[in-house]
Amino acid sequence: MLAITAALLPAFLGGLGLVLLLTEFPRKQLMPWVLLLLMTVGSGFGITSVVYFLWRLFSLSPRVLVLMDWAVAACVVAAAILKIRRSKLSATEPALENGINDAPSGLRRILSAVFFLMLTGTIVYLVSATLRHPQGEADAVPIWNLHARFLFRGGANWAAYLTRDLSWTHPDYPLLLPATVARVWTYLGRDPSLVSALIACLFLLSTVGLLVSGLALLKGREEGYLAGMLLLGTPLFVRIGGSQMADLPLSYFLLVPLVLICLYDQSAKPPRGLLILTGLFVGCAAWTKNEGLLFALAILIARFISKKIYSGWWPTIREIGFLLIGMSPCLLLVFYFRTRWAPANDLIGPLQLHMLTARASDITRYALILKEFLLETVRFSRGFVSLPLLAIYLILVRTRIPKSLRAGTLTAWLTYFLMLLGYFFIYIITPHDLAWNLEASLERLYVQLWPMVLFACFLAAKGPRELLQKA
Amino acid sequence: MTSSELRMRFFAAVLIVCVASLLSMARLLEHDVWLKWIHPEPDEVTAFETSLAGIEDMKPAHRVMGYVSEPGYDYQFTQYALAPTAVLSSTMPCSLVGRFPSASNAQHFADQHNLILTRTLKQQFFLFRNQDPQCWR
Repeated sequence: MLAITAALLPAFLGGLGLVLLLTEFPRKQLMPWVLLLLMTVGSGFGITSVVYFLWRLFSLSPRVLVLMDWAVAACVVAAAILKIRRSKLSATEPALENGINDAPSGLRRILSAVFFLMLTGTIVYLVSATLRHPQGEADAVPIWNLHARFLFRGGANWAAYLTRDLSWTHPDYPLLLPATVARVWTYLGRDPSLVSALIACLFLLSTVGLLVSGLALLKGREEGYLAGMLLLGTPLFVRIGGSQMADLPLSYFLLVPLVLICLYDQSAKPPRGLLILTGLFVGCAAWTKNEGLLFALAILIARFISKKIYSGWWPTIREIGFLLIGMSPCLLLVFYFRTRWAPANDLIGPLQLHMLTARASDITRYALILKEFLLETVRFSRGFVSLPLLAIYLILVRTRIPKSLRAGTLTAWLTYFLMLLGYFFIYIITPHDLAWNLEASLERLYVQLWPMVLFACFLAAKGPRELLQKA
Repeated sequence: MTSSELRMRFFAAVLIVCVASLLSMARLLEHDVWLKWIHPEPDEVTAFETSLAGIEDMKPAHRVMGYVSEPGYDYQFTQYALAPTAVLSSTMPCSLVGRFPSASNAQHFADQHNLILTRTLKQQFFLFRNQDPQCWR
């Protein structure tokens, strides 16, 4: 365990340095620190997975990898320290937790107790799942952990799996998760399954923490705890999180940019770096799963529309520009991987115009997809928590979005609907058997978007401060 | 709407969220932790790895193979391939571990794919050897 921690250390240091370099959060309060540390997980794994991929391209010795990791981490941390010293942050802390203390403390105590009880239950589940299925479940074995083993065990032949003969393992899938796992294995010199299980748990707990701390900063801790409880009360989310598949890491990378965009909107003097960091996380989503590419497009369109509604052309274009700057390193890497190394995607590779037209003009496909989307809306969580329950909550508490959060909330909702629209049309053109494809993937797509939906709903919902103060 | 109505609605909403979340978590722990602790399911992948332990007549570079689909007999093997080797770039590996309900099923598979059934391993796993001389040079 000590060796695994030592292997993770440069990732966390590099991640922390990057987040500190590009953000300006108040550092005397708890929640900004929680958010900051949780972002460290994703940014750290993002950086080190890229470093690992570059190292793997040249098949250098493991010592060189350690050197590269620590060199990158040291550079980023040094730059962050320099920036903090120059800016003297303590004097200009933005008040992001304004008004939170107005809420009744008794309610907060009860909600936090229930939330931490559920968090304990989740940890018990994760330990149990790891003991029962140390290699992971479902796609984790033949796809994600297999790719990681190719990277680790394959040596100079690591790319042997990038062939259409092994199309069942989806060799075109991007490498953030496999490279993250393989990097730790390379440090250890062996490939214990504990590593992939630990990384899966980290992503699950970080996603929950991000939702709670993000909403706590933007709305209030009560909303954060309520949303966190709903997320942990979604059995499918917890199950998929413990299965070692890439859906939860993707879910994490879909949520962070939306949280950061809202923090940017709410901040009195928003640092440009926050937008670049947002773009970096969007890029990491594309480096995690193919759905991340759709997300990159969706969030750009959504942000463009929502920003344009609430401000002029120039701020909108400037903001999109910063997002693109942040996204570009990972997007370029994905482009390089897909064009130079990976075989064609199983959905897009075999596309031919006449087949595409035939599928696009088949009304029964639209009907089937729509039916499954609606059914999944009701049943996807496999528990008592569901989208209809969330709708009941919103009807009871009603909605009111603070002015400073309107553009951010609209961005979140538009991104969600654009993602759904994208998924819908991917199902329309899929060359696979449609019913099978829907059954095999739709629930996971809903889980990927679920933290985003909860975040958007609780941004819009009236909180205890608004309701009880009025009362 | 009066202030007491607003208060009632809010606490009702919070109560619904708390109860639904706790019930969901309780059910998850009951189904996936408690019941599976009492009645554990065999972990196929771990069983596969266990079955490989101690095999010496596989070339180290080819130690990983796959898992042949069970009674459907469509032989979509390597679904559960655990580790990489260059050999996976061909469609049939040099050594192969598959799981079959019986030795006769395994033999049938071997005959169809020009493999030699070399050994029965633990938990219905069988070790096959590809007869292609290219593999063993």
